[in-house]
Amino acid sequence: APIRRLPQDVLGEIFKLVSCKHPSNNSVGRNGSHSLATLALSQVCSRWYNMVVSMPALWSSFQFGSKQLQKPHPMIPLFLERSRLHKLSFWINVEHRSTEDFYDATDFFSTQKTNRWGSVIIHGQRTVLPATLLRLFLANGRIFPELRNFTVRFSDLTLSKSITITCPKLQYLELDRLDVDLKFTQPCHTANCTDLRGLTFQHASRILDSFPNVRIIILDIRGDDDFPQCRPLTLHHARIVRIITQKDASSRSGFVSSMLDTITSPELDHLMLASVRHTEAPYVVKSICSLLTRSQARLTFLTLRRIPFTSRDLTQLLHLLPNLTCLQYKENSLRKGKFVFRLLKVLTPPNLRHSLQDGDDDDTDDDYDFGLEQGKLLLPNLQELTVGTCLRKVPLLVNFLRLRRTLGSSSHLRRLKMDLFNDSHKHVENKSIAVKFREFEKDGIGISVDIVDDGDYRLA
Amino acid sequence: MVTLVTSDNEKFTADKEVAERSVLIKNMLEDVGESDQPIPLPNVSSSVLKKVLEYCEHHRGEPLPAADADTTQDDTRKRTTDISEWDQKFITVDQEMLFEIILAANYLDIKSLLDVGCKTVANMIKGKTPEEIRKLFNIVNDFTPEEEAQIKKENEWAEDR
Repeated sequence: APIRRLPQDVLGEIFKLVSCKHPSNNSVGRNGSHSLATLALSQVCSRWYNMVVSMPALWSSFQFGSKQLQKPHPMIPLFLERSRLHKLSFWINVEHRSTEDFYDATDFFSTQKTNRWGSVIIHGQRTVLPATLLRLFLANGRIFPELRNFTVRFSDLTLSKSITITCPKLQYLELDRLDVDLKFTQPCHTANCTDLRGLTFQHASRILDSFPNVRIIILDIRGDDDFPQCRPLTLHHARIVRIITQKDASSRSGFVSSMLDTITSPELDHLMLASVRHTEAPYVVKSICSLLTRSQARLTFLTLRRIPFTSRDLTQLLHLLPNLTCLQYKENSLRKGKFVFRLLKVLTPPNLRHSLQDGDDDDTDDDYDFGLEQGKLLLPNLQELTVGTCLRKVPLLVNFLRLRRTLGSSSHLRRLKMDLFNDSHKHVENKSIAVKFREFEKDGIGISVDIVDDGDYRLA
Repeated sequence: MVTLVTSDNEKFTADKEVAERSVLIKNMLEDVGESDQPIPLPNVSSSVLKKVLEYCEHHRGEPLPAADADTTQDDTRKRTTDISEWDQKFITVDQEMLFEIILAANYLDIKSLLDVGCKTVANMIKGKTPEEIRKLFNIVNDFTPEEEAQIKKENEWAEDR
């Protein structure tokens, strides 16, 4: 057999690709159903058996259901034993009928094992994660010397007591719908990305304080009565910050703007803000302006989603961003293109704005040029524009590009991306819209169109 | 230009930039300095070298993985089994040739080609039972009845459900 000619190290690499690419390659699910790549490799022939048994890496990545932990499934001790001292990477799916009883799992959580944990993912699959299980992972004073990735998804839990842990090598932390006051005994200098959802801002900011080098931050903050007492938060090396707010938070007047007012982020490059209520929008815009001024950040990428604003607010904000090269704006599908019209108007020089036809006459928003010279663009370096709006705004977008074209080639965008929800009640193909923009190809503008129905638009 | 001589004595000429995607050839050229001497490749046949050079030509100019690339990067590269469209087409060959390409990539030290070959074999193995793997690669089940019984006992819990 030609495969027998492969040297041991090459065959070993192939085995790693088969077994260690994802924990699901070795998994035991509900009712004991399984997919066990490592075991299959070991049963092919004696050479393969000896190789597989002597490679701890092949036994170090696995997935199982929480039920399998209650009365440990035979796979778990076998993999723990054969992985020897190798770092472990495992994924636990929390099943619907998980009870609170995990007494038999204590060996799995012994220090001897946790010392080897490299990547831990607990996936709730929209079920409530048993608090007893989570407390086994996040026990106070626990040390995880090798942990790089810790992820808890869909937990719907609030842990009332604060928990102090030590994770000197943590690189990624994701807490989804888990509000916990997590403290670290020492700063996690290796942490470079975190996704914190469902925490209060106070708890999220305590975690961020322990991640001095974090570069990518996603925050989905819940309402918190103590919010005004929050202390300033400096994100020294954050380049991408995405802030979404949960319903209970966004409904509280002044919540988002108060949160932004605590943040300073000098290296911020891409800011994304989503879901702000109409009444709070002007305050949020002022808070972003003050965040950028305070941080002296040179933002090149701005994403705004479902944020209603006036032309005045928007002009004030964009005026602070002369280096902006990418701008994304997606409006709520119920707004019928009103805010995209305002955005395009602001991106058109003041002397040409009267020619920007919308066709909808219900927008009473005042034009505002913030002292911009006639014929000048607010964002002179803008190269990529992405808009999410309704299909009937296509003529407006064509008109917008035509007006910019009159300013010469320096004003040309490199790319216009449109995510359009279909409000026409007729089937419309992407290419039938793209053809309306063909005239701009010779200007070197890349056009991309994606038409979706209202449901998909809301989800995207 | 560099002249390469295969195990079946066929001569190939290739641009230095293309041939130097092989770390082995690059080191050899550095050792011999400026010289027109052909480089012997006794472990590679002409049909295989032709394929290898086709690969190197297509990937000419792309950054080479650093010799001292840290293990984290290395792990990330190895963990994905995705193969680009061109590479996939390139590696769609019979099994004999596939393993010859892997052996040549290993000998010539062309990391990216070795990756493509290993990923292809891994994708062929994935999701298959031991019996299916044996059949696919023509591997003989050489376990003694005692060994077979022992393995069966070890893995009793994993019998098909």
